[in-house]
This record gives sequence, C-alpha cells and structure tokens, in this order.
Amino acid sequence: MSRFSRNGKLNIEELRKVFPVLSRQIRGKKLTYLDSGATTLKPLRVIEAVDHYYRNGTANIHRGVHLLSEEATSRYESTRTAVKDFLNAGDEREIVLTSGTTAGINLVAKSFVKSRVKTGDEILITAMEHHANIVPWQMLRDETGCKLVVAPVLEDGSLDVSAFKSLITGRTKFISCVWISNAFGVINPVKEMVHAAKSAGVPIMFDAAQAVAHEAVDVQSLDCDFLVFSGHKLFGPTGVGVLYGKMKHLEVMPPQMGGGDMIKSVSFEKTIYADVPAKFEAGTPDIAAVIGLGEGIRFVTEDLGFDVIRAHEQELLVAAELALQDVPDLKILGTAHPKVPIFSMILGKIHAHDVGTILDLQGVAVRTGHHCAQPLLARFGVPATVRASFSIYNDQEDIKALVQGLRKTLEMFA
Amino acid sequence: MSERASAIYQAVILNHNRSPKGYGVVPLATHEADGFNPICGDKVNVSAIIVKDKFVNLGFTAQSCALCRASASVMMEALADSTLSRAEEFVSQFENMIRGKGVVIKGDAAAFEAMRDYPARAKCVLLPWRTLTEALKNGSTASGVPPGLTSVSTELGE
Repeated sequence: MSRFSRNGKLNIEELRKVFPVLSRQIRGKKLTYLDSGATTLKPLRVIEAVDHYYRNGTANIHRGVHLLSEEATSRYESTRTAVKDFLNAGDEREIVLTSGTTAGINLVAKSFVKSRVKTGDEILITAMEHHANIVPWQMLRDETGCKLVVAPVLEDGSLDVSAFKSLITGRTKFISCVWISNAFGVINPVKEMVHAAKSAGVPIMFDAAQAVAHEAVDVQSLDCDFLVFSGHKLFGPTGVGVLYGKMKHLEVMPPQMGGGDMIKSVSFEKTIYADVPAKFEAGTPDIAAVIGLGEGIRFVTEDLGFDVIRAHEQELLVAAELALQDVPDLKILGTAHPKVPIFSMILGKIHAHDVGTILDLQGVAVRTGHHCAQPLLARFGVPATVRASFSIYNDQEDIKALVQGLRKTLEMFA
Repeated sequence: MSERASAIYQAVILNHNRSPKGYGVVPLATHEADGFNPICGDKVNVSAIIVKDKFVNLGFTAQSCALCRASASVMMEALADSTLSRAEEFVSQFENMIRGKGVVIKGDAAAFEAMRDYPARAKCVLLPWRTLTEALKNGSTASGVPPGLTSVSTELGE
C-alpha cells in the first residue's frame, strides 16, 4: 500500500489533489492535461521542496562551512542517492547530474564516443529517435567522418528488431536508442537490444526520457552502458537531468566543461580534475531543480510505486484505444504493443494545428506538430500529428473530454 | 460549438479554407517565394505577375492548416488588381491587426481579428503574408527549398 493506493488500485481523486494545476480553468473549461509526454505536471511535494530551498535555505553547494551550505549540499547529494536507488545503479558515483537528456547525450557523444570513431566506423540509432538522439550524432559524424546508421521502424510503429540486430556489425562502435518512443509511446525491447549489443561487444545507451515515468529501470539487470533522462518528465522541475554511466566508462571520459566544482586543484601550470562524477558537474548547478528531482523520484517510489502506475496507465491505454475507435476518420500511428498511453493521431484531412486549437478551446491540452521526431513522421508520410499523452493523474473523464473534442473538431470541419 | 471556437473558426474562414481563391502556381511568375513554418511543417508558395507596379495575377499553394490556407485565400482576394504600394500597406495593416495593435480592416480579412488572442496560431495566419513580402523582395529569382524559404520566427517547439 502506498499513499495513493490500496490493494494496488490507485485512488485517483486523492492523487489529483496534489497537482495544483489540475484545479485550474483553461479558457473557462476544466483542464484536461494530455501533454505529459512534453512535460509532466508537478506534485505539491516537488513544488514545496523547490520553494523550501529558496525560502529557507538558499546556499551554494560543495563549498562553505556554514549550515545553509551544508544543508543544501546534503539535499543536493540526497537526490544522487535517490537516483542511484531509482535506477538500481551499483555505485552513487555513476550518477552524473546534468541539465537534461539532451545534455547527457551530447556529453557521451563528445566525451566517450568521439575518441572511439574514425572514418568508416558506424553509430547505430533507430528511426524513432527524438531529435536529441539524432543531431548530436550527426554533428559527430560531420566532425569525425563516421557513419550514422538508422534501424528501421515497422508499419505498426515498432522497431524492426531483426533489422536492428543485423545492422550491428564490426564497424558499429556505439548504439544509442530510445526506450519508449515520445511520438508513439511504443516500448522498445531493451533487454533484447542490450543482448545484441553485448554479443557484438558494442556499448549501448538508452534515451529513457519517456520511459522513467512509466517503467521501472534497473541498469544493473539491463546491463546498459549509459542511460539518460530528464527530471521534468518525471514530475520534477525543468533544467535537471541524469546521465547514468558505468564507472569504467565515466572514469576514462574527459570532462567537457571546465570550471569551478570539477577540480581538485588549479594552478596556472596545471589543473587536476575532480573524480567522477564531480568532473562532469562544472559550475553551480540548478540546485533547486536537483532537490525537486529527488522529490519527483520519491513521489514515484514512495507515494505510488511502478505496479500502481503500470496498472493505472494500462487501464487508461485500453480504455482510450477503445474510445478512440469510435471517432470517425481517426487514424492512430504506432499501434504496436507493448506501449504506454501516448497516441499520435491524424483526424481525417484536418491539420494537426487546427485540431490542437479546437481541443485547447475545450480545455484539452495536447501536443501538435512533429514532436521533435521529424524523420519518424516522414516515415509515415505526415508532417504533423496530434499527440495525446497520458500520465498517472489522468482519468476516464480525460478520455471522454478528448473524444468529445475530436468529435467537435469533425463537426466544425464537416 | 463553443463561442471561442466559433470566434476563430468563423464561417468565412472555413469557407475560404474549403474553396480558396487564387489557388495554384501562376505560370511565368515575375515574383515568387516559398514560406515554411518549422513548428508545424506548413508550406506556402506565393507567386505573382507584376506589371507596372500592379498585380496582374496572384496565386498561392499551401500544405497547411486551415487558418494558414484561409488567410492566404483572403490575401488573394484582398490584393487582386492591387497596386504594389496598396498591397504593402494592406500587408502591414493585416499584421498589425493580428498583433493586436488596434487596427481595424474591412472585408473577409477582418475575420482573423480574434487571432490577436492566440499568438501561437498567429504565425500560421501570417505565413502567407510574410511569404508575399519575401516574393516582392525576391523578384523572380526565388523559389525552391531551403535557400528561398521564409521561416517565421519560432519561439515554440519541444
């Protein structure tokens, strides 16, 4: 039993009360928030933790012997411990705090992969990547002359796993893949992918930005080399993220940013870098956001638990799939299972932006556009879709509001 | 239909979307440009024949949302047979109306006034007008992808 559940069943009414924004009226209507794929709403304990830091304990970390600094350092570092437990990492030092998923991927590209590739070598990604897991590799390709290889996606939006495996060759030097597609919600078979990578001796990284709020992550059992995610998609603040890396990798990686807090000693002749993970954390970080991320993780693990999250979200998935079937002219991209309740939709010939605006006028917040996955949408021949992404605080009323909004849009364009 | 939805998607806008004026590429255009909205992927082409500072023919094509397409159609209607100086003045008036600067204009273009409250969608509405401005600057040298693209400024996107 957790704070918001009894016998594995979520008490949704109580849960919704800790998300203050859910009580807000949007253009005169009740808010139906279906854009958690972009960012999740923040529960009170996260908001209060950030507020508490600024209100009662503003101080810099890892410096100063005064009480406020000690408190701030301790709360900052307690997030690292929370992340270590959350990912089941073997060592707290394997947790590098970053500004987000994008920063993590870029750091690995520049600090780990760059020195390992040359002309003719290959980096393998999939066709369902977010731009954050495409562009850093293209930049690396242009700099080093290596090749970017893309594993295809099948018609149902799932990864072509056999093609993925066959694309791992002697030339493959690194693999970086999304765990759950941000555009479609389809879950990749990560264990199988790691197994294929390990068999060929190729290091593999997962972009777990969408995954962390839906799936329990165990980096030791998964045995991936790197994993990245952002705090703001895990009920935490923006501006903070995590790079998990195996200790043996992090130790040999040079820092990419120099400055305060990443050194042991500095003289004009020579600087000795700090150990892992401090050598990657130059400058004063977003301390409040890091503290907030710790609370976001505790919200998931202490107040909910992944069994409760999964059960509720799968219920929403099934109910939404059923309800959306009844909307005429609606096509959903990425129907493959297993998936989380993220729906990329095309409504007849009506442009995604028009659908998005009409839904917004009903108080329904969705994402419209290419979802930072232009190559994936191009694969399906569309420039834009309407994406409804559900999270733990959504309920059956939200599904009804979405369906009703889509029907209204159809009426208007009839 | 909610009151707000009908303020944006008025019948006049929906009609222009359904049956746009001046749809098509003008053959042997003297002026042409492509416009692109990177947020949503909307594409607009505006082409024109201008003789003695006057529009002789004006056309557009669009792969876009309804607001962008209807806005282009309204522009075609408003500027057909117009002089260049009149067209430039009208484009500026239209943009000022959308930006909520209190400009009142007549005709079907006035139907877009409600967009002043929806800045995210104002970009869709303004794309054809910006593309026309680009075409007037470019003359006949423009057209084609990236180099000739007019990108509306973007503050959105994940």
